[in-house]
Amino acid sequence: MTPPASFSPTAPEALLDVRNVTVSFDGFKALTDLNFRVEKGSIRMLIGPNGAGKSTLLDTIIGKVHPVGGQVRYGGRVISGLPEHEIVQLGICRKFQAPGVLDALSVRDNLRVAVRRDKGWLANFRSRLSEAEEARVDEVLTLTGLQARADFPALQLAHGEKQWLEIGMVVGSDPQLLLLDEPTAGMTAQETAQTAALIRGLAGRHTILVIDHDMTFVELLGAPVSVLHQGQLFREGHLDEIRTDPAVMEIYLGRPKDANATPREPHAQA
Amino acid sequence: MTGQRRPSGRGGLLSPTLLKPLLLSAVFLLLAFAPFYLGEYTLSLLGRVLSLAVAALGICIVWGRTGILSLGQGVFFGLGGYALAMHLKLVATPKGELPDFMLYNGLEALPFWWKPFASPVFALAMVVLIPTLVAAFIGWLMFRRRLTGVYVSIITQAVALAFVTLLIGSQGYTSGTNGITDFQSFLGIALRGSGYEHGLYWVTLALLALAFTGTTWLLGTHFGKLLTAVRDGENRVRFLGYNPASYKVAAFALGGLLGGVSGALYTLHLGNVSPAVIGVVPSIELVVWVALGGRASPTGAAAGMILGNIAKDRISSAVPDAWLYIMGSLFVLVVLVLPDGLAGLVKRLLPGAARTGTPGLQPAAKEVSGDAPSVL
Repeated sequence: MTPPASFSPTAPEALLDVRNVTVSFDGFKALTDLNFRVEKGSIRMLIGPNGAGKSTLLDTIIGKVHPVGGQVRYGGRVISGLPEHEIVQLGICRKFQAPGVLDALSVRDNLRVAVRRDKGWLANFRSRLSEAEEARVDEVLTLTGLQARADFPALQLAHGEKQWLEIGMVVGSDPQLLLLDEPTAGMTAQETAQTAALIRGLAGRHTILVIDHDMTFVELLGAPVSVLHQGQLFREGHLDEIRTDPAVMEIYLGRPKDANATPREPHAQA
Repeated sequence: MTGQRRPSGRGGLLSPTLLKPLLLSAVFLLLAFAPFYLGEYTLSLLGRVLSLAVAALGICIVWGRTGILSLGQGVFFGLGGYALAMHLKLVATPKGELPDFMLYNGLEALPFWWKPFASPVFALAMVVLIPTLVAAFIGWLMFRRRLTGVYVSIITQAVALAFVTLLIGSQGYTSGTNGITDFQSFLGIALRGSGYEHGLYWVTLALLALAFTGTTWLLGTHFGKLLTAVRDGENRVRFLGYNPASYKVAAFALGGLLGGVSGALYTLHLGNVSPAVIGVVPSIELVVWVALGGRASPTGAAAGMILGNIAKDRISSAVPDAWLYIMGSLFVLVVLVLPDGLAGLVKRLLPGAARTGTPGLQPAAKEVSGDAPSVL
């Protein structure tokens, strides 16, 4: 197991540093010369209208998509171009939009798959994991409130529980950088609130980048917000500033005057 | 939903955790004493199908648990069969002479790669090694490029076709369509007589029991769970830091190993090996019986292979013309209504056994990551 890379002296703060990244799908530029940084230990929300490139950005970080220009640096090290599983082993883990739990395995086994340190096939001809790994599984079961469901196949979980299980799997793999793609999709208001509390509780331990559309959730999370638009970073700031920014409204709702939703005078922003 | 009832087995004779080993031991004892109560023909049929059940366990690992539908298991079966047959042929050939079919084809000397097969130890090692390594290599070629689903099925079927074509084409080295026949003895034991028949039967049963125990153990390890994980969510596993390709190659190689051992046993039971038992059609037939029994369960896969082949023997001798239709209908029926095969049916019928959390194949709910082909 490779330990998480140490930081280079040139970028002491940014755990994730996306530099001038361009991603092109058959000529269509999903990301254009994008620059984006996330500081170590912080939570960051990523919002933007459909097609803004949010999921593509996560795809690029995790190595699913390769940029045609620029590079992704993680802990001072260039990671674009590495195979996905190697990027993950450096300490980045992502929760996908659709819950990707392993249906036939029990909830506990799902977490075991995530928590297991040694990912090689030859090392896994054993029935039980190490004491520390089993303890971590129990810890994540408690964290996600799924203890009572531990021995059920994941297929039998309710939708919200599946989302939590997958968040648990991602967290259980103990990444430094956690990428969450719409973790509250399809959740009830109460489940959303619980999820926000869960994620806030992770803040010290992990650096977290969250995509979500649900403004209540964004509010509950109370983290700085980055707005992506047409493959570029459009705005960055606190939710209150972003929410009242007429330019942001324009990209979300169309023309600002039609939107008729600016109670305050628009203020200039860099 | 089963509410909050814990799905682990409770006490009592009917609890699935106790019932299954009891039943399996009973079946094993019944099979072990078969030479004392079965007729000669039935016993040799049973021995033959027990040897095929070893290959079924391989298909259970590769297809049932890892989700790779290989239509070319006959290749590995054949490699094991031919590796042993080459040795048996050399033993049956008088010293200093060439095997008969080589003489007919005008060969003047034994090809260099035939020579080491004179040693029984080498031949037995090759029975295990060649199918395993060939499977690993083919698997590596496919899974490294992330081929899945029908593409894998088509490629493996093409490999089966190419293998048979090669065997038939290289008549001087392989005896072509006729296959390798006329064996005399193995390890100094004459390959005839009721003592030999019984011995071979028990060796087959012992190897099947060993393979069954090994497979069951393997599927219970963390490795086994990862195979199921790769089947149900290859991307999820990849983005948890695993390299799914290495797990698939390992599973494919294990399937090759079990196929090779099965083929070698089958060659002993049949007394010959030829392209007729290893081509495209026999490969598909292997898959059909495993599907019928239940591909995700070692018990189901082995039972499907045994019962299916016995049924084939009985029905095709009673109504030869109808056999292919019956087999086709059975396969369609299984695909449509019994995705877990007979094993799934039994599980559903047993009280309290339905939700044991074994990694079976649940119908529907397969769209999760879009990379899990359901059947084909």
